[in-house]
Amino acid sequence: MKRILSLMLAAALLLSLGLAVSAEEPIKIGVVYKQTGNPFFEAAVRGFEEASQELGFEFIHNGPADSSNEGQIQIIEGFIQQEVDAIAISANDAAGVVSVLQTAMDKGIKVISWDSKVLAEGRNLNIDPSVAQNIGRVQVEEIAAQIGGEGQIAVLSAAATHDNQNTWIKYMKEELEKPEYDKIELVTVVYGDDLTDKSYQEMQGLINSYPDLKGVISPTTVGVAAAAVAIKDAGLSGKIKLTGLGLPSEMADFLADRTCEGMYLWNPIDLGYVAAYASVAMVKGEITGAAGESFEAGHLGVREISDAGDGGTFTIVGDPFRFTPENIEEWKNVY
Amino acid sequence: MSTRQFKPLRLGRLLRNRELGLTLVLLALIGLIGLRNPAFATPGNLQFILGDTSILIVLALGMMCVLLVGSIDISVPAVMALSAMTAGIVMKNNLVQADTQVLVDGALTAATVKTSTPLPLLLLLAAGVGAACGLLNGLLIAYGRVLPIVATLGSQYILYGLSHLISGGQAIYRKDMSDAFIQFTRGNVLGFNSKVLIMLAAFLVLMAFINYTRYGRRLYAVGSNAEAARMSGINTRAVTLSAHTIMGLLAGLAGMLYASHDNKVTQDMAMGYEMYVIAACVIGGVSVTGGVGKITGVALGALTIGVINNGLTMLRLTGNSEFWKKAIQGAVILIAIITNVYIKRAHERRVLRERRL
Amino acid sequence: MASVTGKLPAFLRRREWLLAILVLLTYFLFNAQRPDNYTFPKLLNQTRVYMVDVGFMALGMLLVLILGDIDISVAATAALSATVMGVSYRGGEGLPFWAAVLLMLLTGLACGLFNGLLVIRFKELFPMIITLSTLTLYRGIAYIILKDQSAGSFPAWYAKDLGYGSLPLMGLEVPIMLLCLLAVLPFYYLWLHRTASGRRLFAAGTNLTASRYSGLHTDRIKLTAFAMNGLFAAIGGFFLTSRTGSVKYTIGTGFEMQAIAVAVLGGASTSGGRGSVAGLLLALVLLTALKNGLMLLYNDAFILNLSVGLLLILVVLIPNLFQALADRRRILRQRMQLAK
Repeated sequence: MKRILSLMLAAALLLSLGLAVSAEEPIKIGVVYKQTGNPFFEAAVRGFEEASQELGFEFIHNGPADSSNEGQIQIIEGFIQQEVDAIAISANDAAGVVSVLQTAMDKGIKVISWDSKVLAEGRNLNIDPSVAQNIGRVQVEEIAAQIGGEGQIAVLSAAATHDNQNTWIKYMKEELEKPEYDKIELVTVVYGDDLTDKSYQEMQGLINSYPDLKGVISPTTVGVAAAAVAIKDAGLSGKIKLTGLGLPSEMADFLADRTCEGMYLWNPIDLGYVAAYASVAMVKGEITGAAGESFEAGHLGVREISDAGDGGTFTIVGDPFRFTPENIEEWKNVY
Repeated sequence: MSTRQFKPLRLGRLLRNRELGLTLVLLALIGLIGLRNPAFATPGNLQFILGDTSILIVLALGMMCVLLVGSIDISVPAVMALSAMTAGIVMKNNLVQADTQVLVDGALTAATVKTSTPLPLLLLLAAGVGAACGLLNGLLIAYGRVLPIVATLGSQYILYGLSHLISGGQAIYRKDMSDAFIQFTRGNVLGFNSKVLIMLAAFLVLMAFINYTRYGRRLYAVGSNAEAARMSGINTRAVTLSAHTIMGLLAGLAGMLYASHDNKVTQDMAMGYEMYVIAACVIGGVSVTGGVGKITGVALGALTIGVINNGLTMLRLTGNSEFWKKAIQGAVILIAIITNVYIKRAHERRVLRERRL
Repeated sequence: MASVTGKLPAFLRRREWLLAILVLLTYFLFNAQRPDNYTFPKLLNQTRVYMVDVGFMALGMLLVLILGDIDISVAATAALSATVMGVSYRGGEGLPFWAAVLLMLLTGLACGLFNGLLVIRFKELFPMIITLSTLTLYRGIAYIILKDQSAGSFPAWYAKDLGYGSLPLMGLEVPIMLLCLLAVLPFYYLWLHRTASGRRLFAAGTNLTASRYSGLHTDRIKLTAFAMNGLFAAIGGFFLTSRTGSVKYTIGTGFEMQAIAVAVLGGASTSGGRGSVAGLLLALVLLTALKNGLMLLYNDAFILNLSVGLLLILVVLIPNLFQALADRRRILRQRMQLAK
């Protein structure tokens, strides 16, 4: 009760503040992503650009060179110094940026996490690309369909320390409990540390150690591409099925030659776009990030905010999109 | 020499040959890992390791030249990234796609053929960029008198920054690569992977250079006693410069191998790889203070690293915990270099004893 | 004529002066570009981001560099120490916080001692190689302890006040962390430059063999330097963790190179015998001013790294070039005198 009251008070305060800000100068948003030069995040920045043309806010963006938590803290401190109105972050470490983001929130800066969340105490709102359960489910459905509902499968993940990877794998395992997947056996989960050569070696190890392996799920863009190379190099295209979360630009050739017959990813442009709209709505005081609120996300329509179950709130962008050999041509040069 | 000494000498010869000691360590490692996971010690997997390690060997050969003259280069992965990125951008910009039909299993099927700048030209470009980077490092170190670690730490930052700038934030993916480039590390000649053949070629050329040319011997001279080398008329600066240029050239080539193998070039390519390269040299018996090291040792050292890395993957698949792999890797490398020290000490004691006799 | 041109480089050849000039240049350059955000109070506030944790690691690194050795396991040592602290405190359910911190410092000391022991026991191996493998080992042990978890929930005074708090001092908000670093520096300076045990480091680093023959226990000196380096690494980890508020096994990855860069920029040489506390402090200030300025202007991590690399090389290279030029001129002059 006390919390709601204080939230409302803060909202009222910020409403007046927000109005004051918008009267003087444009809203300024600081965008932090996991790593500079990662095409996925370059595409997400395009989403922010689109939204900024529609809404007329300013934004600056930056990510560390080495996808480190410390690098992100440096960038966030720089954004606080530049007096941004909101910080939109895809965190490398959900817990590691909480302290610095709390100091930002103390200064009245709104914090939105997107793509990869920040713990509830360090954010106002989380924007998930999709419902985590669905992300786990569709990949299991896909691989089951490809291998004909029977046989050994393995998961090639990024790192054992990645929160979103672990969540998806948890949901995959839950999905595999269902009776229709009785004949599918998940033999192991291996980690390629999001390094191409390491992931390649892990995939090669899987091929060697499990001669009866029928399918592989790799819910990471680096992993799924490395797995595709390894499967193709071993001459097993079509014999070991592959799905996962992959970048269309990186996977184009593997979809075309059917090493991978179907994979998923959400649209990073939409992700950035929704995060931008949420940030602006929050700075303007239209939303506070409480469950039950909703905001207008441009051409993508209204987004409802709901309880995330971790003490905070979240909203989603959409369903993961399925890329197939048939539709890859139109996407491979987009992101 | 009397016949009485014959037997101990043979044992001595065995120990004196440090490469043999390392080979035994390597075989023991393969045997032990193979016991845990039989899939490890199969000819197929061992051949895979050889192919996978080829890039490391090529780099370790270059690093050996640099270490021999008493220098070091930790900018290697950045040189690889910049070279591969430069060549990759040229390849991407000149890419031509054509739909044709190829014969698969006796039937004509539609296929896309991707051509671009001829592969030899791309390789030349990458090697050139690499050599230029190496030359720059060499100039800083030999003529600018900047200490090697400092100079190459700085150039690592700079070269990664440059590869980011020229890339414009975009990576090079398989769709941007010509068929010839993708096949570059996948060809097969007489049952050998082309990576292995390229590595062998580099190995033989460098072996001939180091062991049989006057110029190559100078690397040792400069490294073991720079002052003496200078007094005997060797241009020590030029030798250091050339060692770094060789390193750069090989790093440029290795960058292309790496890119072709991975099917991609990113601006942060191979970050942290320099540590494996240096470790391979040290396990192979190269002294970081210069003047000591053999080319066969370096190759064996790199293979040891390859076996450890692949072995950890294979061990994990038999149920060992994911979380132990890093500690095991560190411990094994530490044990390997310390074992090497003991072999060397035993050898030196033996030599001393023989002298006394 | 020659004396005038000779004087300027001689003046610039003192690393501290060169750094001080660069600091001022950097400050005024960026201040002119971003007069609203790049101000002295704001820069002071940023010191806790760029100066303190790396600074402590660099203080340790300096000792090892003076000896002509190098230790690239410092960041891994910091990570392992922070891990030990986080796990033993267990969010308030484990040991009391002071005990956890003590345990952390001991862990750092132990890591440093282990490095030192290996270095003096296996003289054939360059310290870089030894610490390269202990780097993987220490971080590997942290990985075994923490697995995919992070340890956190530290006391508020640590994670909030120490990490992000500041004290009003002469009308300025000075980060508490920075005060901690500045408080340590005078003692460190006095010990290193003004006591016999500190001077011994320079002696051993300048000429190890001569020092040994003149009765110095060079092995003991080395062991002490490595152990202290481990301790400083742990302290660096302590301050880093106060900013992150939680520990993952990856904490501080790559900080060893930053620590080396700071020490070298400050005048230390990897070949030993050189290094100064004032230079180190100025290098820290310079890097803070530069990195923060570049961050504001470009918002690009790679450009930041590129500039740091350039700076590192130029600061070391330029005095060398002046020296080479002066040497050549001297030789020419001598030849001319001889010809006369």
